[in-house]
Amino acid sequence: MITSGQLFAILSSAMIGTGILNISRTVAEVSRQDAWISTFLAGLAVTANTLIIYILASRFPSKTLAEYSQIIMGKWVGRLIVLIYIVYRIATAALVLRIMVELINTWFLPATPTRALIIPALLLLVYLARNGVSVQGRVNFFLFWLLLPLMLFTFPPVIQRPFFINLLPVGGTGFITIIKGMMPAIYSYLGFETLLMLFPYVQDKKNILKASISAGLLTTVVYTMVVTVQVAIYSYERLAALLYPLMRYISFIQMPFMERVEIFFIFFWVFAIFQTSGIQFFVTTLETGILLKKKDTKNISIFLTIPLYIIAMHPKNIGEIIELIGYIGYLGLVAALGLPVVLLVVAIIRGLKEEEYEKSSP
Amino acid sequence: MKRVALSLIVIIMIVFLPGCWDSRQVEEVAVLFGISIDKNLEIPGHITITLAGPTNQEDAEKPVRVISTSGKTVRNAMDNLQARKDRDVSLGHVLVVFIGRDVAEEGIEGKHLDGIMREPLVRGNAILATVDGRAQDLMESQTEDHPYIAIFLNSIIERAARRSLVPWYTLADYFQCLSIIGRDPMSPLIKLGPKGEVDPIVDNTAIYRGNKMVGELNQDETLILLMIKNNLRRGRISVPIGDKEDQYATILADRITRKVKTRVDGEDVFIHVHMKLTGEILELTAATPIADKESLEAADENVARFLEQKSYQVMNKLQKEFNSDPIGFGRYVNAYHNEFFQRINWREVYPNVHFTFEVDINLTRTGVLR
Repeated sequence: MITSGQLFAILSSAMIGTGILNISRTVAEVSRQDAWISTFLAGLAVTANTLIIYILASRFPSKTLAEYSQIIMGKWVGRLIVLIYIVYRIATAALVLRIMVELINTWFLPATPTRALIIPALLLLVYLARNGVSVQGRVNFFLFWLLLPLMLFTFPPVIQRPFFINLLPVGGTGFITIIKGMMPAIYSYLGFETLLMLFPYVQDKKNILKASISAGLLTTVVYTMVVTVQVAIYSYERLAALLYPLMRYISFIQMPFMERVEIFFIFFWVFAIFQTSGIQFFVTTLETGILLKKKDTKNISIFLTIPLYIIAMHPKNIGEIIELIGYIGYLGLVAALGLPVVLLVVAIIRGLKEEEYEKSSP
Repeated sequence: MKRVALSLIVIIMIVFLPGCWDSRQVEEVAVLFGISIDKNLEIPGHITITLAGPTNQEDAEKPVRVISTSGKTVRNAMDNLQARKDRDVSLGHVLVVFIGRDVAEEGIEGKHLDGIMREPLVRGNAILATVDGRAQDLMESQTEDHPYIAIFLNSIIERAARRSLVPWYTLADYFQCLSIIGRDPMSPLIKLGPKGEVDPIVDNTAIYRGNKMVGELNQDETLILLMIKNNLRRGRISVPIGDKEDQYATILADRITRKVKTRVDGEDVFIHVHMKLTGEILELTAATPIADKESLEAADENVARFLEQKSYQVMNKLQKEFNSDPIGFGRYVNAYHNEFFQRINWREVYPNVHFTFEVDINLTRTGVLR
């Protein structure tokens, strides 16, 4: 069991992970100087969607998505839905891990083979996943509050050079472009849908709504801030050329006692990225356990590392990684935004709720 | 039994985990503090780079070593240097990149800077400076003040920028200006003293049009440029004062606010710049005391008119002579008249923009004399 405070930390870390590294570029490529508006609106949309997930999940307060999707849609369609989630999560966990390795390779260990970094990370993932939901909760809670102060690094450069002229004209790209820019922004917000699986594990059910909405709003604020300051400092034209804009941005900081702030930042941020992967991986083991009707999910995690490893090692170059993330993003839109709405609508039409279902099937 | 197995695992891990593909000992790294980039005089198309860094050898004669090497690109040249060095050349500590005037005037290309910008180890605030002459000569010149010429130059530039003698300009700024329409790059321009004798002079500005250097501004013009750009920090300028010749007030000026108003009328662009400054009098060669309310206000007026007049001169130079927009007025027109800006070619419109300047300065102190 986890507390609602831990749920807040889990949802926040699941959302803010790799997305923060390049959200400014991916959004600014579409909605240019209005990228911050797109990011903000996408955050609000995501937070609203968390509400839908909450309404859906509170119809079945002691069941996970993997269980009630089979109740709502029937056995086979329900299982297909669970399978979609499993594929999406494994791929996300794998690519997030791969991006983490790319970062480490670029900044710290250029000559170390990808394999040599992914395998230890996989061992750690299994170790974390085997220990169940309460350990996940505690680890995330601890890391979240440890890493949140790193966000302060996004302030100094923009205070030194407040060129907000690059954000003007506000709204100049037009309504449709801003809406289009929400798409890449939403990819960066993905992760909030883990609530679908974690809902029954939360002790204080009353505070779930508060915790998940505040996680959504916190992420919205952080992302909007990051995008705003980066477009202001760089201009959207320059952002298009930068692979990891956040790192370059942080490297502008000059401190008398610390020379390379961005290296300090990456060193700690690797934990945040690893956690994003860790949560998705853990939730997958839960889903797989339910799909295979196994009570004991401990050993499932060992087998799940095989597809994880294959997907993580598959991309040959950075271009392929970016392309694959795009595809996973589409799958994520279906899994995080589409399916909960469909499930909720069907559940309402069929009038399904936990108590009633239990009554009708002895 | 379990405990023994665990201890064994821990011992094995301790033996194998510290092994690292990327282990690099400090003694194996050749640290660089500065790079200069010039045209190669013998092979056309090639570039010559000069690298300066510490020798890291306790018994070395001089603490610093300056080496020149050449190649097709900056990376290629560095690899050619690597062949002659027993250490790994690392760009992680480069503070400043110097561009020779011949390269700057022909245009800075990918072969000069891309290899440096692409390297993740290069710090984001490494500065860019243009050298009036060959940058190699600057790197090879000796100074009495500091053993490392690159660190020495870096701190001169930093100090000069703090007094608004030169703009503070990083590599990242340069690339940003290149990628947008409506702001041109600039950089500090370093003049060489006679070789090996006198220290370099850092109080000029190189003005670029796109990636090509098109002209330079002297010390006073740089101050005015920075004032219009709203970057003025403790800048010093001598203003003729009183009715006699050869009488000056030296002013220390700081920015307060700057407002840029743009107006588009048909095809004509009007830009009004209103600058508010604060200042103090450092020196007054006129014999009359000035520290009463009326004469200080008169001095305010006098200095303000002088700065306005200088602004027109500098702007005229930038518009008509250089056709370069280092202040970034194009970004203002883009921001406030977006449709118009998308339609026009800023490079063609810019020389005909109608500028008006308005300076307000408030001289608050006169030192310890009246």
